[in-house]
Amino acid sequence: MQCDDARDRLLDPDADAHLASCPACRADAERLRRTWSMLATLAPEEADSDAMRRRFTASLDAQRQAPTRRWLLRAAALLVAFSGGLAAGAAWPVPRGAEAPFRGQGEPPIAALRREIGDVRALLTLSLMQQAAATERLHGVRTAAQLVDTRPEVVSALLDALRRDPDVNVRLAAIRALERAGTEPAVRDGVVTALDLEESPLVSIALMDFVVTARMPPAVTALRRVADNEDRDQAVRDAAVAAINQLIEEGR
Amino acid sequence: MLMQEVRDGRLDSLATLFERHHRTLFAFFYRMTGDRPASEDMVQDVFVRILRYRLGYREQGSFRGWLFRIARNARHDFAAAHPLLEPMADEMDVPVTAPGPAAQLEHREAAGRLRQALQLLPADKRELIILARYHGMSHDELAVLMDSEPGTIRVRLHRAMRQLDVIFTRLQEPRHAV
Repeated sequence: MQCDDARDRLLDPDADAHLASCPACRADAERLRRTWSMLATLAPEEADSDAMRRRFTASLDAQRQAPTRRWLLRAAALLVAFSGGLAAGAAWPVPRGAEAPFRGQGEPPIAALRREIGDVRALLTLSLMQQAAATERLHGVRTAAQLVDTRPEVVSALLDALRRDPDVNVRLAAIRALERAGTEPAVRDGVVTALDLEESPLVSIALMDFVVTARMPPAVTALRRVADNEDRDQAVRDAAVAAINQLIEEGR
Repeated sequence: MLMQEVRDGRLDSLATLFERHHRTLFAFFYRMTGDRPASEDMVQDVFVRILRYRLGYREQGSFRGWLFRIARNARHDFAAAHPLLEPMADEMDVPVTAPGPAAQLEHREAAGRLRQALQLLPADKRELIILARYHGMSHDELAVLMDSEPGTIRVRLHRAMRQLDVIFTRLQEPRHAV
């Protein structure tokens, strides 16, 4: 073997015979092999398995429950079609005989169409909230906030997102979407539970804003637990104290 | 085979695959990018892609090869979507294995420079070294993974190592001292 041949084989044992007789290549190989050996001493960064497992499990659950993307597109198309129909119906008087199929149980046609749109939008919202990608879930939560009425299944999905979604932005959006249903006992209970479980300082403080705005004195006990918990972020503990004071002040 | 079960619709088997491989994937992505959140996102992306492409899995190839093919694509797409993502070699943990304090410091500094040198390599060369050195891939496996020939891989790996060594040596010169 010549030096040129050995040049691209210095790490391989088949170059050893040449290295034994060529001091220049041997010095080259020793340096390269030292670097190769040293690479092995660089320890890998430890993976945060718990966090990744949580995201993976949420994604797998969503996959199990999620309808196909084609279904979503169909629902979206239906929504657009219904919206178009609603706009046309509002602008164009429906002949007397044509009203009957839309009426259902004596409902005016426009109201029936609106209800149908609400149903489709709610279904679309629920489907989006079960997607693997955080951006799609975020879109779902934001769509939920635009629903005219607060449906129990949507409220329940929003509370579930608040409790379990691994993405901070989705949880923040869920809090905003739940504001309209802030008087419902299930929402109030869910928010108080989230105060205890939430790990993100940003989301914790948003929850505290929620309980103050929704005037929820029963949340004071949970807020005290947060304020007394030395493991929580100091800014979160300070915000909990401020929220307690505000709720007590308003209760007087 | 777990992957065959996933392909046949038994999604619970994917959880077992996750347990077996997520650390390896994280280590690969982290060594490539030096960015923890990005690496966790890419691990997640790999398993989403496994689900999406499960019907395309064929038993005759090695599962590890298929997994790393997906991982390379995920990293490539991530890099294209986040061109400003810079490796952060200095933030990585450096183990200390030398005995005395002076030797420990020396080893720590040298290891830090080697990490830095690795991050300064072009991504394709860094990837080749990482897969060969840390994931024990043979020239044959790398050739299949990269649609190349084992002889070509051997030459490319040696050239990548040479370039790494040049950068590492330059970083050890006084003006580059950490």
